Amino acid sequence: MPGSLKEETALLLEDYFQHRGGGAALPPSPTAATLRRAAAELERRERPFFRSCAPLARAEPREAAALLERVAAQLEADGGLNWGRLLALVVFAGTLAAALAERGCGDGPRCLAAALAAYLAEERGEWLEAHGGWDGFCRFFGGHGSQTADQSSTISNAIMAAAGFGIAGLAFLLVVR
Amino acid sequence: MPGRTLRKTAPPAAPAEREAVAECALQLRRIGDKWDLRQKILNLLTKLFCPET
Repeated sequence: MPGSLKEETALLLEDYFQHRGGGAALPPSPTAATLRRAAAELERRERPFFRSCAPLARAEPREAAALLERVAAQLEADGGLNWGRLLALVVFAGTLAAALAERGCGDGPRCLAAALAAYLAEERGEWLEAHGGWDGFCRFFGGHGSQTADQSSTISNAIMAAAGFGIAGLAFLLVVR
Repeated sequence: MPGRTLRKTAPPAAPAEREAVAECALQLRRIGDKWDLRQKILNLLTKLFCPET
């Protein structure tokens, strides 16, 4: 249902914006936890760009929401939407929300969350539903119980083990020949 | 459509802001596509090396 998707999206975005602004509350759902983690990782890796975006937030939340809608509309101009682009858009919105909150506009984060939730659920609702909704987001970003850090370390260990066997085999062949 | 109504009510952007929005969207596309590809590779490796997860 579009209504429930919009509400779920608004709640997730509000939680992420609050967390981004220094809120210490626990995530209300596994999906919220996945969004917080994936967004924090992306923001950390691309910090210079997102910092440079902060001045784009105007004092007026409606102006920031209009800016966000214009960026969102252009974001999918080339190649459509994917989970990575959606996450980048959420982090961008979080940057604007944090900038508004820092300027004393307490209603800014909620206003931006509502604008982005409306855009995603109403304009991109079909895409979201086709890709499993926020459960699909969780599956894509590895939120099904395991943390990405654990996932990465397991993969690293497996790759290192394979490389180790390869080197050992090569050394053995050199010694035997 | 509700989204279109939102866009109609949005104030027209100045040329400088239009440029900033275009540049911003371009960078977000690049970052998003890079992140999407990275996660797809990570998910593929997870399936290969840890099929039980």
